[in-house]
Amino acid sequence: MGFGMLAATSLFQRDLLGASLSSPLAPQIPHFPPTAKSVIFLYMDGGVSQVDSFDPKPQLTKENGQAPKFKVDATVFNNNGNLLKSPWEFKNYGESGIPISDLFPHIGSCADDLCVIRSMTALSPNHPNANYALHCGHVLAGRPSMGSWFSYGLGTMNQNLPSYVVVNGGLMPPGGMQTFGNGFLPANHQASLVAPKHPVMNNIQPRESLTELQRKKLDYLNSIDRSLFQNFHHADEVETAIQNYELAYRMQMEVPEVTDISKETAATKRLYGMDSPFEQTRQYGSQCLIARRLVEQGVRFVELTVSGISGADRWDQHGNLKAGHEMNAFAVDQPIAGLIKDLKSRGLLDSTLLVFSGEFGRTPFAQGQNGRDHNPQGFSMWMAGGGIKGGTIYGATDEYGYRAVENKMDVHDLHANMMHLMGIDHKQLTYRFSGRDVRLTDVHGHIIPEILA
Amino acid sequence: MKRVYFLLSTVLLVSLALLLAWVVVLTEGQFAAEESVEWAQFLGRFHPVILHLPIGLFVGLFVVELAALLNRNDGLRRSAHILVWLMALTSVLSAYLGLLLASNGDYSGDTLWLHKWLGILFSAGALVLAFFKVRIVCREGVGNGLYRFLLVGLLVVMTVVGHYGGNLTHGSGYLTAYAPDWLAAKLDKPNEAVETVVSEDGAIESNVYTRQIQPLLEQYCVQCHGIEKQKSKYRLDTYEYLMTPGKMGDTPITPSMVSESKLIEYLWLPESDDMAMPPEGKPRMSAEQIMLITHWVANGAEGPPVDEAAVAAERAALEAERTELNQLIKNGIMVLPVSRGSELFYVDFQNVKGTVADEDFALLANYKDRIQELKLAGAAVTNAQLELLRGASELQTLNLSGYSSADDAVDVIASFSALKNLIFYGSDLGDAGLSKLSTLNLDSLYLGATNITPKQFSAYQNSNGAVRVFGDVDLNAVSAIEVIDLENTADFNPNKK
Amino acid sequence: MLRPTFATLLLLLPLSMNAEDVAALTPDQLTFFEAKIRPVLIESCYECHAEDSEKLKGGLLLDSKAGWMRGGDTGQVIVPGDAENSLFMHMIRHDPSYEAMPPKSKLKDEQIADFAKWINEGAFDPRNQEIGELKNVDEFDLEERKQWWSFQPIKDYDAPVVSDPSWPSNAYDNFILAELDQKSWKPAPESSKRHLLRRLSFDLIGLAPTPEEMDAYLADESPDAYAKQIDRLLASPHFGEKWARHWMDAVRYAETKSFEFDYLMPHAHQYRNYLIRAFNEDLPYDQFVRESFAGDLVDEPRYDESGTINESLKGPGFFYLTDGQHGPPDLHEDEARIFSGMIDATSKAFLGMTVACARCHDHKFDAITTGDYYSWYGMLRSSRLDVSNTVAEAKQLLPQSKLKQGKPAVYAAAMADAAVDIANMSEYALATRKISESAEFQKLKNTWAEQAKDRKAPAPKLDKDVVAVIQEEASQRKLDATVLESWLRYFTIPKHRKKWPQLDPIYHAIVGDSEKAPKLARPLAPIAPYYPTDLGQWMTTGLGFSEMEQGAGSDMILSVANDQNVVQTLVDLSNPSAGTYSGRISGSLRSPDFVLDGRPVELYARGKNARVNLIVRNYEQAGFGPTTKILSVAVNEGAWERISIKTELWVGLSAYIEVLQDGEARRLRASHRQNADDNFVSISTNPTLPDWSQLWKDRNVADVVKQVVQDGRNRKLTPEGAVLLSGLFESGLVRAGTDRNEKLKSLMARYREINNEIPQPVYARSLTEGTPQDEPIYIRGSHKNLSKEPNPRRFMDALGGELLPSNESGRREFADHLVDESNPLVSRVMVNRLWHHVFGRGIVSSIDDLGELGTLPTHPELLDYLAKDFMAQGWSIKQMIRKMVLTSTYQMSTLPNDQALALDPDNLYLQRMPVKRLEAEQIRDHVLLVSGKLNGEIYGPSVRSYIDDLPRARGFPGSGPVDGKGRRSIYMELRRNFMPSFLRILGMPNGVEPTGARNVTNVPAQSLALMNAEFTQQQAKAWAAELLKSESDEVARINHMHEVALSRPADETEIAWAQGLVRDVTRIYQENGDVNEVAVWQELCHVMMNRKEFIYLF
Repeated sequence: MGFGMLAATSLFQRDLLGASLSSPLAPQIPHFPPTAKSVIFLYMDGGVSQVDSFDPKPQLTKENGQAPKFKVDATVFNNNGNLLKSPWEFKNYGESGIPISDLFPHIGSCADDLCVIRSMTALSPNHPNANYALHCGHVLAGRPSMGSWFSYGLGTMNQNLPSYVVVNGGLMPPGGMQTFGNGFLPANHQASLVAPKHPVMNNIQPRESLTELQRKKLDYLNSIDRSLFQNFHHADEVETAIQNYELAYRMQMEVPEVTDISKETAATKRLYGMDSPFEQTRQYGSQCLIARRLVEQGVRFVELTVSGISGADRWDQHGNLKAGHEMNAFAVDQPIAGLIKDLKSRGLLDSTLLVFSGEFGRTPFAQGQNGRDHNPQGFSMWMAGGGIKGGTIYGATDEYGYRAVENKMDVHDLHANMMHLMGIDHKQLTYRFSGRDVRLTDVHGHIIPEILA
Repeated sequence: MKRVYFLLSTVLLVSLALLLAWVVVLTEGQFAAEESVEWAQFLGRFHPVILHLPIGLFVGLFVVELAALLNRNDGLRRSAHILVWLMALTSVLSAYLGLLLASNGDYSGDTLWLHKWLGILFSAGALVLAFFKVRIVCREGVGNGLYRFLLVGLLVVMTVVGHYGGNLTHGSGYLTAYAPDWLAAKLDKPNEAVETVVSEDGAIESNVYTRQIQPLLEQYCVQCHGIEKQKSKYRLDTYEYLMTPGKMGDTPITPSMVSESKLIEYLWLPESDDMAMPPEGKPRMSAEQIMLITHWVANGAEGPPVDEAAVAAERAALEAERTELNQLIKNGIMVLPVSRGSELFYVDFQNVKGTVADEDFALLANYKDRIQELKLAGAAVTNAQLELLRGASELQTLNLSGYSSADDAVDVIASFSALKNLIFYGSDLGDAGLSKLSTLNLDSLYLGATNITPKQFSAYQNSNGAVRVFGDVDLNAVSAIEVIDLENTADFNPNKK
Repeated sequence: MLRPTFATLLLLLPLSMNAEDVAALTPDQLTFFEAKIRPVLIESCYECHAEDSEKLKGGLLLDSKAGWMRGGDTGQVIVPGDAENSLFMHMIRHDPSYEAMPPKSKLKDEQIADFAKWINEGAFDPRNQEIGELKNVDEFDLEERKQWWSFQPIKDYDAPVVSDPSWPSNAYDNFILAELDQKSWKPAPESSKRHLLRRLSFDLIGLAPTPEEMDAYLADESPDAYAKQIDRLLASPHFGEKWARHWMDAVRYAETKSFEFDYLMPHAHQYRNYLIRAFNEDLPYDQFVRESFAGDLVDEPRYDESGTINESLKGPGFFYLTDGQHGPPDLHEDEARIFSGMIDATSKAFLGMTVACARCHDHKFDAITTGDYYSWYGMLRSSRLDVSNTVAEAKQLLPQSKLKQGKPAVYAAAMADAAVDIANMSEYALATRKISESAEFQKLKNTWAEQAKDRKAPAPKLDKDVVAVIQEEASQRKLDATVLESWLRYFTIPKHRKKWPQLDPIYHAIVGDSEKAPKLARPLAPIAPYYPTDLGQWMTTGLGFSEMEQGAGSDMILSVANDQNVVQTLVDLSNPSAGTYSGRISGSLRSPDFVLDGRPVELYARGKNARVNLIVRNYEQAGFGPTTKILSVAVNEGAWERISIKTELWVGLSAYIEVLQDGEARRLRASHRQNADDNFVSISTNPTLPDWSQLWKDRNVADVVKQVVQDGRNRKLTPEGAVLLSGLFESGLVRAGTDRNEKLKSLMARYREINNEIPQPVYARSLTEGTPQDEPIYIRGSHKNLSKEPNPRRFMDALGGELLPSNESGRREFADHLVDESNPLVSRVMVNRLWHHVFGRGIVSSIDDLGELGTLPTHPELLDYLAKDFMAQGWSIKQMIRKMVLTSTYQMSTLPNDQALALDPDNLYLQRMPVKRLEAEQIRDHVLLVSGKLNGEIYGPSVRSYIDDLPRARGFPGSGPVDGKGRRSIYMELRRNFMPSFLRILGMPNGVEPTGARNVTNVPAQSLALMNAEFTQQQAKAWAAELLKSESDEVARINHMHEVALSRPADETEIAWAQGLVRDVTRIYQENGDVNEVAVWQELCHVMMNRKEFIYLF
């Protein structure tokens, strides 16, 4: 009778590793063999217009300027105009021939790695609610973010780094820090906010003027705590609190070092578009480069927010669609393609899941003259790497790109499939809170075999 | 005329025999596997009706033959002639129906086996008997002795067949259930008798659970409460799961607490009750079988035999293994099962700072055949240490990015028969090392930022078409991608380089 | 072979059919059904709508004829013969206004056509097996669920006999010791006096004892020394600050609306101060419950120490401390969400039950029905949010009556003063014309013309030169310069003049183009209010609108602030008006609920700093958000302003009109103007249209004006006369100035004096009665799918279910039922909460959930004993805490015996006191205490938190000082989107989920905060500076540090340790340049703050 028989009882197995590492982020054993080990979530805050990016609509071009023939639901600003065709052309890329608009030529060059989902839906037309739903699976503030769920479910490999890192490019998404909050999960699963500038993380920078001062003080602190601790030996949480200081000290070293991209080669920086004339492209490039370095060091969940562009409030173009979307796209297009190619060449793409999505799409009919209002009923996003089937298109919207009609997907399905790729059964990962076993996917979520390799 | 009659009857008897053989083959083969076609079940149910005819007729025949023998009256012998025919026909017919009934999987176990084959033997014998009878009639008394001998033989066979048939439908203890004590003692209650059956690996299976309860559950319940399907979250296929709570939080059985065992409660419910188990339309346990389970639970629901020694041994082995692995983890070498219930490991040197101690690596090498994925990624591991992993049979993914003296390591890498993905990114692998890699049928090979010359790189690529090979990113291709002429806003025009 | 032919023949026969049904279907109907209908149903419907589907959705069976005939939750699905209005067809066509079926993707068009054909031809269906009646999977049996322990009445227990009767100091100890006796464990030895006082002080007031307090206690040998310390701490004002924070956790206290702009809720801090005061006054808990539910309805309200502020009114302040969406498309859905949050917080805080789970279905485990939830919902819908003036009515009524008496005299004097201007009207006209022709004025006129080009130009103003000309002209003609200035502005600035159309005839008469027919006043466009206009049904809060006298004619609205013109305007008192005597007597007027039908809601209003809101489904943020901005209209004009609010976005929703005399009181804005003087408002739902022809009919303008002034003086003003006179005063053509009329001056001085006796309004959030109504049940929680009959408002079904009065919201009766002695939950939940905060863990550890999914009590008898004791001694919280901390259990040390440690690692049976980590607020307060920077000021508005270290986001309010002005942490302003990170990382909840018990976590980020946060460094520096000043000798200094920080002197090792550190740090500084003594000692102070003993109670 080999190891298998007894090991089957997960109780014994959990005991195998969990106990030995007292750190709250010890790695946990996935429910089934994962294909992905880390997630990089490229959050296109504000909502990318689907008919201008990954969902070409010839019918829309034909009926440009006419009043919509379909039933128009109430929008946020209720200033609904006529149908507005996409100002950009679409080209087919790669062997799979996925049509992508001229906004994203660089991402187009990686088309064979992408799985474009065109039938995504959001739970609300408002920024903060849709934002909370995409991140926390519920339209209300206060629920744990998906990053926290992955950290809670899988812990992290590198014990000297946080498990959930947000590389903040500029403005926090609407709804503030609760987007990345740990909600009712233990505080160690909270997002650590990192910015591609100095100091890189809150409280990570020792304030002592001389470096060896802090080490000396910590040595003294440790000695006095240890000596007095004998009197109260039973309180093991005091023991953990003492250990946390060593962990904190190491994080002070590791976090700045892993986010220091100055050591990268010039070629890599060019790949990520850090020689671009556009300042926001350079900054988003540095964010993508930091994301690759974090994932290389075993951080479980990394999220990137978009960099603030003056004259274009993130992707939220209620007006001036052409200039706004162009600047936003130009800022992220090359860096993201660079990230995919870099991960691929380093052998990390197969174990890293990339997700590119906004919190909802935009209306095919105009808002005012040249804007588009929010459209939660149908939009596009894509995923790559980490066991996703590249070069595929899943689901479809109606001929105007307004409502998803085929293989509709919602945020719960997205979370369920992300967790599936990371080896988690989304129905079993629960946390007992306020009288029930709460799940990230609540009571929803379906696994979609067509998009899994 | 007698000759014509004789020929006709032999032809008829032979065809009936052939038909019997064919039905036997049919029910044994594919037909039995396919659950049960409805018409077969419908007709099969007539078997208990028809089988009484041959019994009656045979007894009648026996009496008539006896009478004929005693008072030498030919008239009787002729009437016996008709009886034989009738008996033969009805016995073969009841055999067909019996086979059909057996095919629907309701009955199983060795009592069925015995009853079936003896039944077939009896009907075959009946045909032979008829044949003899015809021959006697046609050939004036030739083979009379054989006929009588066969008659007596068939009588014995019939009683045995009847006995097992009865057991099948009413359960083996039916006759003796209420036998008076003196008789019961003598017969020592066949159903109580716990036959000791020796299991394959020699452990004495004296256990009621494995011999009787498990098969019952297997037969009636596991179809909806097994590995694939767990109706309202109950699983009944293993002993442990009988104790694990279902959807509403209560457990199927609670040892020696029949009132607390939902399984027992549902089994006793009348079929009309919608909580009754097995539910409507599914074959139900007989009262006697339910009593068996109830009885077993009442007596403490003793589980399958547990070989104390084996379990203790394994627990000790696991304990030792755990301390070793924890030792590795403490020194920064992460060893994590690939998934719950898996024997294979994912090993990550992420947290290792500086060189790896030899005894740590040696310790790891003890488990080399259970490493599925190994990520050195920059940890200072020497080739000598890597050598310890030679022949690791399960290793599929190996990450040696940034590895120095890679060429020398290729030799041991080639010994990893199951290797699929090999990452040499940023290592000092040269053309020499690359050439030795072709023995492995890899899925993906990462050679970016290495010392491999482009010529050797494409040579490898051409000769290993199936392998996905990745080199450095082609920066010229990237800068060749032209961005459309974007709108020129105050501080931004991309095309102005 | 026999089998294949025979078998296939058999199969063709449709097996599950009986004879007579077969005859009903024609052969081609049958083949059509078998080919086109059944396979599609099987493939895309049976998964959720068949007998054996895992989870039957919508209660609808589609795998049999009887199934779809019976229909589903929402009634009939298929109407045989009529596809067009079969719900089934709408759903499979993915018609946007219906739930799309199948949910994930649409059927092919020909399949949909087949179904239409099938239904139109009578929906023939051969599948006729009967169906069992709907198996309600979660069969809910209230009686059986009521057997749960926490629903059983609280039993009487006597203190159990124990092994060592000398150990217990009161009955509570007996229960603890009895439990330990069973396990034959000895309770831990007594704690040292130092550790005990430090623990007691932190537990009661959240602050460490000062060295002096410690020494006094150590010196006190008397037997009741400890009891004296307890009473001292219970009496301290800081007691309320510690225990108010626990309740703020339970009701998810925060001060902003989160979501996109994180709007600040004005006056939210009043609720915090109410809690602190209530705990300090030891308000009995039953009274606290009554005030929390119906503080606005209590018979005799409770006042603060000064007697001016009504404290009871602030009780319901926590209900609307919810988050709030900014312009949600569906206001009904938004209300359902907000009420669900309210019910969740309230039910957990008072009943320890998760009632909010019953929003969509009966509770899965506890004895709570969906009816309970929607009767609670109905209670909330029958009430309304009110930002009430908490100034005691007594303080307002007396001065108001004095003002009322004095006003006629002021009226007369003012009219007399105004009459002077009337008399000189022609003089003023001449002077005005003269000035308008002056050079200075012409120059000014050109500059005005220039400015007018730029759209956003400021309103035209007179410049110095022109004013000089006016002065000079006025003195020449012995006229009033101020009045003359008003005349000039009236006659020369058209936009200004247009405000008073009723004065046009005067204008035309004077300007001389009198042949133009006297322009009648802008006719008041008629309005068609479809809301109830019978003002008797409208509801008021505060005293503002209490003075409505029908038919009292018109009266002046005086201004206490403006000396030059004490008369703001005149209002017709038959219209509901507020502020007629003083702006400080504020109030609000609300219409009953009515249903919006898409037509605009219209009414007339005039006033100053007032506001008219249309509150749709209790949407608090009227006036904010793209689509909801139009729901709030400011009223700042003397003349009637026609308010018309479009409602086509909210057809079918119920709403009410809200008129606020102090419009700014409820605005979601940073700070609220404290001065309410001169605020007034008057509304009318059917204003009488002034009939000007009768007034002006071929009469000389001057005569008319004189006549009107005369009528005014003897109070016989016609409505038209009142409007004309108002215009004269508002435009300043006439004025009643105290600066030129002694009599008026003295009268107004007296009037102002009385007015100032009335305190300025102090607002607080509260509830008020609305239109009592029952709320139907939302089927499966969907607000679009309501049950036919409404669900009567009643108390909890499991606790008696008594009906609430139908003519009131029912909050008062609900509270009475809660605190009824027979209620099994309220007392248990509160004593359990108190036990948690004293002993670190509740007898039931899941504080907010005493239901089946919570944990079981470790000492059930003790819990009941405590509950009985609590009610017996009048629900006094201080008494309960006093008795708990007096127990020997509380006075134990934290040293376990090995057996207990092994068998009960979590210390469930209190064999010893648990080691407790200080809460976030206590750590920050303790840092301020040791550094000497703690500012012990109590009550008052919130202090802006230090949030400079947070990333910027929309609605970022700017950061407060690092040390928060030294105030205690409970006074930090809590913005949901920008919570102070130092407190959050140490465990303060996020103010969104009710958190009865905080989970104490242990993360490296906490060490990083104490190590590197600017706050700890800054306070360490302050502490070092203060130490160096006060203690010269090094050892004495070290000892003092330990006394202040750890409530005990340093022992030898610590003194050596500290000196070692100081020496090493000095050396490091020397190696790198100069040595600054404060900097050296700052390092030691900083390390002291990071010691475990600093943040743990042993």
